[in-house]
Amino acid sequence: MTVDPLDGIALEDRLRATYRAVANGTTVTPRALPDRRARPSRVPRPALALAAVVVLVGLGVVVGRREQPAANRDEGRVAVLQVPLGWRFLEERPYVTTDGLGRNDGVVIRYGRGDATLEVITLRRSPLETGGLEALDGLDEIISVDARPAFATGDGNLVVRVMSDDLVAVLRLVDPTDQVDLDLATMSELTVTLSERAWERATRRQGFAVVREGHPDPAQVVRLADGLEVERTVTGTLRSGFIVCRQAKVDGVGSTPFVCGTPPVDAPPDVVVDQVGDGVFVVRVQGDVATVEIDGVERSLDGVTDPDSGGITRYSVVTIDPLRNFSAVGLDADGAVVFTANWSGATGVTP
Amino acid sequence: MKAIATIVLVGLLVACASGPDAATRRDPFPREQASLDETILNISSERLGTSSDDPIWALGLGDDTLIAAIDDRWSDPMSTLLDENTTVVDGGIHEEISAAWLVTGNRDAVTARFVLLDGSSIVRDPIIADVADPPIVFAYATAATNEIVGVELLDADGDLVVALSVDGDA
Repeated sequence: MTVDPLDGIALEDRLRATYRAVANGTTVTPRALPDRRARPSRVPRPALALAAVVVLVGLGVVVGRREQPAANRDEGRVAVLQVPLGWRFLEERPYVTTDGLGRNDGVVIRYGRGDATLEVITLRRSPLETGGLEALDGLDEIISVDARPAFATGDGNLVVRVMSDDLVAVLRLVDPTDQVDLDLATMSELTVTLSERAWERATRRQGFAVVREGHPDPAQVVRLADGLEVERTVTGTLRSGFIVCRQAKVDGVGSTPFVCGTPPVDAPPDVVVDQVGDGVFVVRVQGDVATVEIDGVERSLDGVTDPDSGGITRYSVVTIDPLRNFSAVGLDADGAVVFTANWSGATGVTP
Repeated sequence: MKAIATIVLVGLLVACASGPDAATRRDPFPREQASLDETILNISSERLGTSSDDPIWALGLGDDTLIAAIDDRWSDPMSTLLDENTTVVDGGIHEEISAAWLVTGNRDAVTARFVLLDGSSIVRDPIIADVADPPIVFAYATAATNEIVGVELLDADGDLVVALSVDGDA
């Protein structure tokens, strides 16, 4: 389509007249409530009944499928990450053998910055086992979380992270100018996975489609003692990257704001106190904190393991008068104080 | 499960028999109540086509407000008072036109790359207003058959500053 700029007086006059009309016609009175009165349908009711039956049949099909046992919860998942500043999304496509990691199935996401490219490769089988990395000069194990280790080449430009039995994330930096400084090991810890359905959404609209996965999936909500539940959500776009956020709720009332970011496996000691209701607090603990004492009384902690990073965040619920000051003290396994969080009843914040 | 399905069926029948005859459709260019300054400055205007009947696409800049227009329909006012870390984008489909416009306080952004549904893109320089300290505004409009799905702000080296979605259904 040809687009011709207009700079004539007539256009200027027309625009100004329209602006003026909008300004003159603008009111600042509250918007009226929408009309909620029911109106008669113009569609014949037999047709509606037929449509409803069709919907019911569809529901039956959906329900039938949902009742099928899942062969593997990780099947079809794809690894994504928070895109480093300055990197542009280039493409996403299926993995092919010429990508250089052996015969495998998977997905390749490519980002670019100048002449350098960053690849986020999801593979269904480990290239360490299929021989896809046999040409490399050795790999060093850099992380070991349960049975999910990560390996890196000596130059740090390739990291292999085993995230589950059938999902291996490979981060590879190709930098002809050798001027890009990326910590792929840390980035591999921040890698999260999307379900097959969320991945399909993420790839729509050239990767700009916004994905928020977690809330409808009961597996993403962990219920703990004292009415506490922790919801984990993966949010983002393929263009700007994905981040994990969590919200703790007690009896359905949530803390604000969301806590975002993947808890690293070797997180430093940290104790955070969030008020979620009238006198109800969630105490969030990570790192080398074995127990938490509030006003000298030890509180029990329930742990939540991040399904992607393996990092553990622990929670407790405590009821205290929010107008008084109190401290939440984190102790290590030897009973030494490793962190202290103070709640100020005057300001309602933990300084 | 059958009981749930039966309840759903009954609910659907009741809803179909008594509900409104059409779903509410959000218009990306609603006539919002807004406070507009009559001194608003026309900073960009062009006709989307070649004939006098084709729609006019325009951006208007006030002291602290940016609004977009296609013919006689108007966008929500957008604040132009942004800090250096903030970028605001708006846009969507109006009839046969897909439009997107944004304001950023990030001085690193020198061009905007508007990405279309088919993967093609067009790079635009900022629109400069005839005022002393103009906000950094980028805008583009095209046919809705190949709608704008997102914008990437790029710095002088072509590196990404921020990627923003343009939701045609918003």
